[in-house]
Amino acid sequence: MDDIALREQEEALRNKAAQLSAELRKQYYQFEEQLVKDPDTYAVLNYFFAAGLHHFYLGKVARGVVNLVLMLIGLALISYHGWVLIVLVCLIELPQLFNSQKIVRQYNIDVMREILDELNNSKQNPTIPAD
Amino acid sequence: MSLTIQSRIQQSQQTKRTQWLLILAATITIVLMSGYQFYTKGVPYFAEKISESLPEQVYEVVDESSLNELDDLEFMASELSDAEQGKIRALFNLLLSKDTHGNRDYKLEFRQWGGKANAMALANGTIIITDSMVVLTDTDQELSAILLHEIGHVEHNHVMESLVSSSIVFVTLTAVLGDISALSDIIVQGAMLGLNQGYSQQAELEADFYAHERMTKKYGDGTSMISIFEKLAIQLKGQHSWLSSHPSFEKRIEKIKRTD
Repeated sequence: MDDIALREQEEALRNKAAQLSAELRKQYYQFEEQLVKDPDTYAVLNYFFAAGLHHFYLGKVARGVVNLVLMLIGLALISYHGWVLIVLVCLIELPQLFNSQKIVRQYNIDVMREILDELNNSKQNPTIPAD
Repeated sequence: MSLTIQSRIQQSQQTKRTQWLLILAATITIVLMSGYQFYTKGVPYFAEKISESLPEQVYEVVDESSLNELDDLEFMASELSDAEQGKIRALFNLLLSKDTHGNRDYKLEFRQWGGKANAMALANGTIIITDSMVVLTDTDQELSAILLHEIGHVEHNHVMESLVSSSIVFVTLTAVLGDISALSDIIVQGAMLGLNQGYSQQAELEADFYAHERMTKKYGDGTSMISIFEKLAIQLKGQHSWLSSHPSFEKRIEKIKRTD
């Protein structure tokens, strides 16, 4: 998905949040503040991409552990061409380094949608429009 | 606030803590592992490659300046007679085989060093032996063992590799830690001390192995190495510590006996 489409989605969700009652809007922003991720932090952690730190940041623990284990195996076997494994992991992870803004924006959009759904389900504000 | 949302916020805070804990643990693991591998494998590898590619003039300058500095600060002129020096130089030349490192300019120098029995090799093949060391040896074989050990250091390029290793560690740690804090100074000095100590002990064993091999080829066995090490062990008793640049003589003798 391109950046403009993501911006549009984000804007639509922000509009929905703006239509919530004052009490629910407050809850929404409290919840959002807790769950959204910072693209800059993700990008900095991505500099260590082979270690999988950025995956941990977005809660993808399994993928982070796979990266970490591959990195450690590569380092342990560095004298026996272990560096090939490290380079391979780097190449696989490299696109995420360049797409970090987009990836985090998509993650945050999912989070925003989940919060709105949660608030809808709580049925405390019947004014939230349907998708 | 609804109960669900409250519990979700609590859950998300818990998850956030776990995620940062994982990030921290992964970072520490990777940094320690990379540092260890760089220190034990990367530095020696690059030191060897860089040392090999340095021009001969660098070796000459390092040799000359090291000897001049040692002469100014530590050494005194030898009191061995010219005839005695000539005899030892003749033995030294015999020990230099055809396949001894062709690029090095081997020469033997005699000095006094506060009565210490010692010998050392410089980067370009200058080997210095003290009068006390000459006096300590009873036979040509024992003297050969000492000289061949020093030739072994030159053959394996230990001096230049040690200098380059220290430079690599210094430059890397300065780049990583910066040049601003006392802590970085302590870490840099500690790393270089550890590197020199570990590298130097390994280098000593390599030089022993080289000398032993050449002694066996020339004299049939390496027993003279053992006898001169035993004499040195008695003379330097109590001076060995875990920070020593040389392994203990007991360990070196044991290694030689094992290869005999």
